[in-house]
Amino acid sequence: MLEFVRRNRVLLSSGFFLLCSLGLLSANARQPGRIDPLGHVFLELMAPFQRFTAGIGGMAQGLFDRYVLLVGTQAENERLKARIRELERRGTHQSEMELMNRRLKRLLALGRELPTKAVAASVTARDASVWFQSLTLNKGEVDGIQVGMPVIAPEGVVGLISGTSMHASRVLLLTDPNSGIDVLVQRTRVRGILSGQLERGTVLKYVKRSDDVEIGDRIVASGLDGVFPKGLPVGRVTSVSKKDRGLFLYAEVAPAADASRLEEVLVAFPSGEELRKPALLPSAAEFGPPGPSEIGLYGPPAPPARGEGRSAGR
Amino acid sequence: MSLLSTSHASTPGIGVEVRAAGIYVMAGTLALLFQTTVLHGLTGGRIIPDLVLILCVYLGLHEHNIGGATGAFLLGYLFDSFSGSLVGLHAFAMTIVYLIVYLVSRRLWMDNAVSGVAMVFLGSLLKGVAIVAALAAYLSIDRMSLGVAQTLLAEALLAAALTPLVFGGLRWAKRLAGGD
Repeated sequence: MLEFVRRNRVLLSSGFFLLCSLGLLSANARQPGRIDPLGHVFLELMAPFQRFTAGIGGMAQGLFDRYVLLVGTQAENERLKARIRELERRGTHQSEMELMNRRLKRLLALGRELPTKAVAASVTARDASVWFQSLTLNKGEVDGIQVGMPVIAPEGVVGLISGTSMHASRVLLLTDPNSGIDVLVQRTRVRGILSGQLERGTVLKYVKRSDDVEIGDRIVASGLDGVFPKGLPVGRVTSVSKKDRGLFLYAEVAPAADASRLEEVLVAFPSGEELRKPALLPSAAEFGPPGPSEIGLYGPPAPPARGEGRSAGR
Repeated sequence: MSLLSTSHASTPGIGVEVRAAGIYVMAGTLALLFQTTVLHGLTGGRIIPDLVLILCVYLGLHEHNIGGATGAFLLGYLFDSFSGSLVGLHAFAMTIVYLIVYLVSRRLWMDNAVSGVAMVFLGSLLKGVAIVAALAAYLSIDRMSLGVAQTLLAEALLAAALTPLVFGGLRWAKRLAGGD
């Protein structure tokens, strides 16, 4: 008997433990509660080890997440940076388009208000010297631009066309010492000549000392020179000086159109002269991607009517 | 090469058996600790490698005595204490696994790495079947979904993959304790 038990001790003990297991199972399946005589002891004994292991595991997991997975994070970071750059580029492009759209709308509105026809042009260059004030436009004789034509912005008078070539023209700004425009003080209808000076800004000349001119008065084109339409804003008086001697007062005027910020202008045609292009202002489709200051406004140019290189003489 | 296993002729001393028991207790504790903490966190709880089962198979392969059976039962019971299952479920399953592995190892030569891996794989599946059978008997669960089968298979594969590591660690510990 003992020999049988000894030889089959594993089977017998396994059978015994199987019976124990089934007994536990049966008891737990029948009872609503949990019958676990040693469970709470095991739990209590293992708890500190589990806390310790969980802590170590958490540290290892954190280390893994922070350093090993950073490889993926770096790649994602690069991708997101590239995406941000692309979106910023698009945003800048869109802002530029919106601003251009706004400017052109104002230009279009101005063109409709003008009594004569006008052609829109973009500013492509500025004066190389700091003493003189001029702009270069991207429209020339093929577009019908001639010397002496007035150049206007939505804010007001810009200057006169002083030279042309086939596909470009030069604008003598109001602020250039060589320029002079017949103007009126809007409030009092006092007449004078607005001229540029070497320093920035313009000065109102040939206004009698007794005439009523005040700071803040608006200066508009008189229309008497036959160049600028009457009533076009020119500037605003910023200072008035009545010297002790002399016939005239001295008034400084800030131009209405800030030439340093101009990007598009209108070149007005003399009354009765027709445009050589079918449309005054371009459609949106005619604009290419906006360059720094240049916009293609029209289609292919018409054949030239005059020679190139004529310049204005005053 | 004989496929029949030889009986354990040598009888180790008491001190060696105590040391071996200590190693198994420590291994079981560590296995359960890892299963309930680190491994659970690493896998997100979807599939947890059953280190306790690997230990149980090791007992079935190498401990052909009352201590082996007791160890398998206690491992299962310990498992039950740390799982939400019915108490006795894993004790039953682990004892079954131990018994089957013991019976197989008495007939076949199992002292190599590949057979150990195969036994763990089959033991894991057996444990799953035993649990499902017990649940069916006691909780009237008569159907096993495909998802359960897939999980069982994945667990078995994972346990088999970890077998060389666990068996190697146990052999190393027993050599260190002078019992192997």
